This record gives sequence, C-alpha cells and structure tokens, in this order.
Amino acid sequence: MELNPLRESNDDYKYYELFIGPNHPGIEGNFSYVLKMKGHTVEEATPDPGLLHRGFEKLMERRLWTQNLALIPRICVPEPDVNEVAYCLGVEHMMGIEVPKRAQYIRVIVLELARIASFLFGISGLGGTTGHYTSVQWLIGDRDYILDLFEWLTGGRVYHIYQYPGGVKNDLPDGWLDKLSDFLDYLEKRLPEYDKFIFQNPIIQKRTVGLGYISPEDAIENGLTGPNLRASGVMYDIRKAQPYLVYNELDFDIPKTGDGDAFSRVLQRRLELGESIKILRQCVKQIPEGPHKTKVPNPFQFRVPKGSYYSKVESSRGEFGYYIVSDGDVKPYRVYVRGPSYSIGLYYATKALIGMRIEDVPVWIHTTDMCPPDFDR
Amino acid sequence: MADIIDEIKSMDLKTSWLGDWEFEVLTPKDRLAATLSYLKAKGFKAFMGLSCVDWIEEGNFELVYILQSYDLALEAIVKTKIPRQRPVIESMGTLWKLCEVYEREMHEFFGIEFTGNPNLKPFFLENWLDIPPLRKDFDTLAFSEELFEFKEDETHGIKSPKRIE
Amino acid sequence: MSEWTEIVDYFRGRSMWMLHYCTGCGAIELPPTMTSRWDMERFGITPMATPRQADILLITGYLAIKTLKRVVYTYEQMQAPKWVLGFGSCTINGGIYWDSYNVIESLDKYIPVDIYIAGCMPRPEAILDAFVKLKEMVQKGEAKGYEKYVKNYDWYKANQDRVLKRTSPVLKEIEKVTKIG
Repeated sequence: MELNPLRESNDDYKYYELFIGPNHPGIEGNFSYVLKMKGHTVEEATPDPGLLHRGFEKLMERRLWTQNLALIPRICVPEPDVNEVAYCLGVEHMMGIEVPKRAQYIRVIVLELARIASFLFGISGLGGTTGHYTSVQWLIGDRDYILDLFEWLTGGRVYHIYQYPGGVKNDLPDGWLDKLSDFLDYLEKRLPEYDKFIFQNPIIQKRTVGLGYISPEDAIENGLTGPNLRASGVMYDIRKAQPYLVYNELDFDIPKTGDGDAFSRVLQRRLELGESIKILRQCVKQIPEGPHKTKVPNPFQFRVPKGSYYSKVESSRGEFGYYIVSDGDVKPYRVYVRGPSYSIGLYYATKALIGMRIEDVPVWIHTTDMCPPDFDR
Repeated sequence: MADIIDEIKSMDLKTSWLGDWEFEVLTPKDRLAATLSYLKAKGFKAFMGLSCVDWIEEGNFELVYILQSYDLALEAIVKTKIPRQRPVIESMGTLWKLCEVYEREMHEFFGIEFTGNPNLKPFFLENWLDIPPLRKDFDTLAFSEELFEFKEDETHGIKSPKRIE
Repeated sequence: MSEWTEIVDYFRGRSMWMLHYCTGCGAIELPPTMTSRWDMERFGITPMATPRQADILLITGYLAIKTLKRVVYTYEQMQAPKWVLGFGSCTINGGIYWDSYNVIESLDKYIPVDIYIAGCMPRPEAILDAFVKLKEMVQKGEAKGYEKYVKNYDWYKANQDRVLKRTSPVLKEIEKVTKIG
C-alpha cells in the first residue's frame, strides 16, 4: 500500500544499501543486517553475525565439568537459567545421578520465573520500537521484582550459577515462597492493565496485525520453535510432549492464538505468561520437604563416562539444546549449543524481510524475540 | 515407537536409544543422503542442528545431524564420519535449505568442504588467516597471548592465582 | 578564559548524553538503569542514537574483534569532549574469556578509558556511582582521555592495526597434528 499519493509507482525510487545495526536502537542486541533497498522497500537482507562471538564451544573444552557452570549462563543473556539446567540434565543423565524431588521443584520454579522475566523483557522491546515508551517503563520495572527474588535466593541479579549436577547449591531461604506468592498476586493484578494498554491499543494493533505471516508448514520447514511455532498453529511444547523435571505432575494448558502474524506471536507470549503464573502457584503448594542435592564426586574427580547425549529445555524462545560428548576425562570433549534463534535470525529473516517496508523491520525483529548471543555463542 | 528402530535396523544401519525420546543412527558417508531423506519421509521434518566432533586420534571428523518429529515426539541424531585429512561431503541443501547456513558455519570452524553449497563465505569471523579454530590442534590460549600481548602480571601489579590447566 | 572553561565544565557535567550501543552482555543492566527504578535521567544522562550527538561511550562488557573495528569507527565519529566508560571486568583484563581467540584483553590499548566499573555484572547502583564520579571529574576538568588519544594517536593506531589488519597467521606452522590441552 503506497502512502505517498504523489508517486504512482515504486519505480521512481533509488537503490541504496542500508545497515541496520550494530549501533541501532531498533535491533535486538549487537547484530546487523545489510539491506539492499529500493525507496522504502527491502529487496534483499543479509545477516552479519559474529559481533558477539566468544568461542564458548572451544572454551568449554578447556575447563572442568563443574567449572563450565560459571561460564555458560552468559550464552543467553536475558534468560540464563535454561543453560545451567540443560547442561545439568545432560551431565546427570550420562552419569546416572538421581535428583531429589525438592530440587526438581526448585528447578521448575527458577525456570518459570526466568521465563516470566524474559517474556516481560521481550514485550517491552515491542513497546520500544513502536514508540510506546510507557510500556517499557512499566514492564522493566515489574521485571525488577523478579530480579530481587533471584538476588535473595542466589546472590546475583542476572547470572545466578545456582544449579549443580545433582541438585541446587542451597535451599530456599525462610519466607522466600511467601514473597513469591505476594509477587504473583501483584503481577496478576497488573496483567489486565497491560491488556488494555498494550494489546487493545489501536496503534499497536495497526502496526502488527497482518505483518509477517508464517504458515504452519513454513514454520516447521524453516526450523522455528517455541512461541513463534505455536503462534502459527503447531501446538508443540517440550514440557508437554517430552516432559522433564516434574512437569508431568503439573497442570497447565498451551494457549492457542493461531493467526501466524506478528500480533499473534506477541499475544502468545502474553498468554503463556498467564500459564507460567499458574504453574508457579501449583509449585508453591506442592513442593515437598527433603534434601536439595545428592552427593557427587569432588570437581577434580568428576568424570563423566564415555558417550553422548542431547538434552533440551523449553526456553522462552524455543528449544534450547546441549549436545554433550565425553571421552571419560575430567573435561568435556565437545559441547555443542543449539540456540533457538539461529534459524530465524540467520535464515528465515533473509526470506521474510523481502518486500517489507523499512519501518516494519525493527517491529518484525522484536516480535520474533530473537536473541543474538545464543546463535553467536 | 519402537517400530522406527526396528525399521532402521532392517536397513542394515547401527542404531540405539540414547534416552527416553532420542535415538542415534550411525551411517557411512555414502548413505547419508538416503538415511536423511528416509527419516524426513517418516515424519522427521524439522531440522534442529548440525555440528561436528573432531576425533583427532582416530583421524576423523564426525558430523552430527539432529532431526525432530513433532508427530512422534522423537529426536533422531544421525552421525557420520569423514576423514580428517580431506574433509569433503555433499551438501544436504536439497533436503532442507536451512542446512546450508549450518554448513557455512561448519566450513568456517572446521574446514569441511560441502559440495553443492553455493555460499561458503566467512560468516562469524573476519579476516581469519589461521587454521579453523574449533579443531583440536588449534591452541586458543597461545593465540590469545600472542595477538593481544597481555601477560598476567600486567593487571596493575596484582598476581592472580595459578589457573587450572 | 579559565573562568569560562570552569563555567562551561560545570554545565557540561550535568548534561552528558550516552550513546545507545549495546556492545556486550552488560547491556542487560542498562534498561533498569534507564527506567523508573534507578532513573538516570535525573542526572541529565539520556540515551542518544547517533554518535555525532553523544558524549559518553559505554563499552558494556567484552569486545569481539569484529566489534572492536566498529567501536573504533564510532569513537572517532564522536565530537570532543567525549568520555569512555569501561563496564565490567572484561574491559580490565579479559574477564572470564581470558583465553578466547576472539575477545580482546585490555581495552585501554585501543581507545583511552576514563573510568572502569568493576563487576560481572555491575549493579545499576554501581553504574550511577560511576556517572556521578564522571560528573565530578568533568567539573574539575580532569577527564581528558580524548586529548590523550590525539597526542598518542600513532601508538593507539599501531595497537589497533596489529589486531584488525593482520596479514599473516598468528600461530606459525604446526609440524605434526597433536591434541592440545
């Protein structure tokens, strides 16, 4: 649709090359696309990754199995706990370690809190690119209460380093679960305000409804996972289909929005946030007493038997996988990290951005909630 | 669920369960395309990842393809070995176009040639002139000390404790 | 002349604009610092999109070699007076990525740094503390990193070119294929 009534066709416009990022408020993280433009329409998009590449997979081969736990939260910056849990699940499976029930409930609580924090951060990105700055202030402010809870539990706001093979490092402090319940009451009162303010806002709807439609077959073919896949209609969630930890004892639904466009993807995150609150309330009621870790060998004798395993966790962006190979030594032989944003950031964007207008490009990027550190590693 | 394992065994390929929802298939290099298209036709339509393991003592690279089936809720891990001295293999871009992006990364980090892949240009690293960095004979600490010229006691005269090697 | 400089420095310290460039993982603590809980706008600091109109460059964490090239371009595009804050322990000695082949070790060799903020990751209160210290340094006329860059331009350029414009491999020929470490 041409907005400018003075021009009849797009042929009068010029060709030029435009960089979106890395120094750009409209891109998520430190990442860049090189766009070939004609007028205000994109004709070709090439990703330029590697600006955040630290060589994690090489560094992990040089450290002991338990030293890696301090290194890997930095792979996914907004939601670091999924890395620790996925790595611990892989190591525990290969060594045959049993994790006590209380520790599994604590892990579910930590994962769901991290998921809520990541959803709040992701939706605020949409506010930032459409000019809806009040939602940025509210959402980041509410997310800070979660970081306060994490600081009380683990000692750090952003990077927790709380999981350990065999359990968690320390038990829940007294009064932590009550504070968590108070926070959930507060958040549930805020959600209707967000709905009226963001999701029923006519400007946000006009900018996102109908943008970037993905059909279910295309979503599977292009390797999408997580809320992006479920917004297109393929209702697959690892927590339901291949349950890990104690998700098979908890009762929650997978909401269906199913329209496949940008508004649907953001709405899917908002509805899954409601489901996470339900899961947390059940965990607070059902958590049993007991030990919070089992005994494992000390770090210098921590040897994992020969073999390989692929462990994965449903993160807020999709399937986060760790493929671990061991040859019986005190250090890993090879660890491969499968980041959920790889396929959409480096492959699908080259197809989806063609034909889009320049002002829609940052909105599209933020509604897919891609995170450059997890494919740059 | 166990039928898929029996069917693959009848094709004379080694396979075994790795966990509750994943199994591995070991295939020789010339049967890789046939195995992957067989699995794709069986419902493993989603391509999850491609990686490589450097078995330096054996002299092999082991390529690992990870596929997922949403209907069966299973994960298939297909492995194949290629010689380390001349690592050449055909590209799987005809089955999944997404695979070509992963192959570009493997070419950069291990030096593997994928015939039929139109774009194997540098991706994550810029102006890289040494051997591919994820190989086992690349010493990252020596590289870092040589290029960045940073010695330990330069940190304002504070000696840091001995690092674990 | 010196009274004018003092007056100008007084006002300069109360209105510094920060470039909105998230170079590393430390950038996750910037939205809480900018929004209502630890509001940094009450100090006169607000994010700005282009380097031509920004005063502070905040290097939030480690720098990959590819990013170093862009940061040097950005730093040279900013107008004097300009200040650089090294955020996190990765700018001091490489941090947790000390043995990585793609992360630089000491930021001070490539662009002049005025203040370091220690931590991994520093809290928003630490960032505000650093901004207040920078304000006091500016008002006293002490933060002159940009003049150091101009005076020692050849030294900085030689360090940058050593990393960015390599023409030969860093590690020499490996004789036999062996496993390291």
